[in-house]
Amino acid sequence: MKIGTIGFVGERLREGREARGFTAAALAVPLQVTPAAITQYEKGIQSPRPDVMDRIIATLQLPAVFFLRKPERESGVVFWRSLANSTKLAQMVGECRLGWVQDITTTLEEHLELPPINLPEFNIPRDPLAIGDELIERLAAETRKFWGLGDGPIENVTGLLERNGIVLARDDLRAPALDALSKWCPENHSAFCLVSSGKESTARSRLSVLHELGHLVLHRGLDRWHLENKKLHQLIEAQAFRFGGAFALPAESFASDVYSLSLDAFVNLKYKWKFAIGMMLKRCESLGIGKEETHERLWRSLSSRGWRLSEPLDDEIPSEHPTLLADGIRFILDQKVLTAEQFCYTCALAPRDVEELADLGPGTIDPTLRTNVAMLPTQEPGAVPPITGKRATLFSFPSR
Amino acid sequence: MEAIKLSMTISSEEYRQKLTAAFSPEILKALLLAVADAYRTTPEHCKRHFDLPDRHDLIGHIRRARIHEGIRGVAERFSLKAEDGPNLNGSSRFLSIFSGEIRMICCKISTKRSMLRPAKIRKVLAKDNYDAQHLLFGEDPARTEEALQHLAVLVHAPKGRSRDQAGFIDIVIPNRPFTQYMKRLELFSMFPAEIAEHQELFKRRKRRIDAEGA
Repeated sequence: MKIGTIGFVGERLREGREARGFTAAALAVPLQVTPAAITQYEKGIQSPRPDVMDRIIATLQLPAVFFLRKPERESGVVFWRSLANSTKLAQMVGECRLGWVQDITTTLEEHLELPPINLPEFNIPRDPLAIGDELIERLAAETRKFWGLGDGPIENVTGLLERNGIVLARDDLRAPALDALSKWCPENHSAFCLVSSGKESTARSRLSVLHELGHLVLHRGLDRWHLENKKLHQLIEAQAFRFGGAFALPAESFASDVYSLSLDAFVNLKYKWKFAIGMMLKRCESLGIGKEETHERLWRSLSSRGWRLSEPLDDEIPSEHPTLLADGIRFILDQKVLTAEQFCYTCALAPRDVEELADLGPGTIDPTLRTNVAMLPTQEPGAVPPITGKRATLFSFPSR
Repeated sequence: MEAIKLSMTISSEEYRQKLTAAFSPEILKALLLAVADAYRTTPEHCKRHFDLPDRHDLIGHIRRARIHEGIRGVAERFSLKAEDGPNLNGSSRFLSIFSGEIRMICCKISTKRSMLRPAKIRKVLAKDNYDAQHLLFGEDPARTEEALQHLAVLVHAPKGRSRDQAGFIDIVIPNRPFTQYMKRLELFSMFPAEIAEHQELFKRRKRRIDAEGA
């Protein structure tokens, strides 16, 4: 009789594997099993022996409970940014980690009341082809009005979405081609966004967040097949960008602020509006501010100054961090509602993943991740310590 | 082309009307901000790319280029005609923007009360800047077959010894021999709130950079 793991959920192995970016073949090596065995575990045909199970836990760095429990997670359509140049594996990593954000939120909601979703309900065509630029501009303006924002700059985009019930998390997503993804769950009206924390400046990342808001406002009613169609997906992405731009930089107030079509003027505007210069140029294009040759000149100038990679003020605009999940977890721990171990057990995640996704400092949940910094006595300048002890011996490394 | 009849001298008030007809308050505000931007950003740019003592002499040149870039951007923003051209001996280039009966160039002067240097090219461009004196001496602009084009100059200078701030940014209409200004628009006085906001933005930024540097 073969000894397996009682209660093993094969789907969770697949989720854990994808979240860590392993293919079945790659995972088979550290587990010391065949790729076919991995497939059988994932399909629930077999369950791993205890020694394999130990290696799964160690390799994927997930707790045992993760593989024994399937969370009740509402499905929904996931919107991607940078789908075209990201790998399938990278998308899976993102989608799994977005699911974990959902799990953390569900655990929090058992003990806390989070802000309810507050998205405007518009009568939007279900066919993306029927959504025109004019409609997008109008919906962006109405969303601003719905949230009482006026038409000026938005100080903190992340906080704005969180206050209106959208759960946001920042994560490095383990894939440079991924910028952000979001999910709308139609049954319980909840929305989740995961934004890359890696490569982007704050000014660019603010647009990523609003791009996801665009999906949540415009594309809530779409089906998965809309996103699988390449041409439609491109259109949907363009629409989300247009919405993000229109929401960030309202046509009238932004246009009246653009006093010169020169890069110096855009640096000044970036200080006020806190969005990337490239994005403001795009917005000028879509609003018809300036001629085509002017835009071409400005793009050329932007490139020649190296601003496509890094713009002025990128390091001066303070970064935005989601606080909802972190504050919720800290509250639960401070009030001793749950211990850190109980919290991680309930959401069936590793402490490190909870810390990363909830934007908690390292060591908040897992004490082994705490950095111990001790101040060493400072040395007087010029006081070179005497060389003491034996002479060093050189060892050569064995050749491979 | 219809000849333009001028029965009297062009008064200061008429020049004001011509200027404001050519440049709306939005354009004047934009010109002010574009020049103020150039003042604010040039020293930082030079500091980043050049060491002293060369940096000291470069500021004026780079600021001029940035002012031209900003003003060209204003022209593009408000669909005005902009033209780059050489001076008479071809030693440098200058930018003109055109609107209504006005051709506007820009120039740094020493102090607010300094008179523009009567460079050859400026004299040519100011041929239609008639004042009472010329009419008295029998020069009749009504004889011209072409529409008049008055020269306006956006004049500016640093504030005292501070090189990152303009002391004034004005638009003047000089007379033909460059002995006096027939009209002056003081842009700082026209847009006090805008210039205060602009200065505050840069002060905040400078404070932050200084704090980080410290």
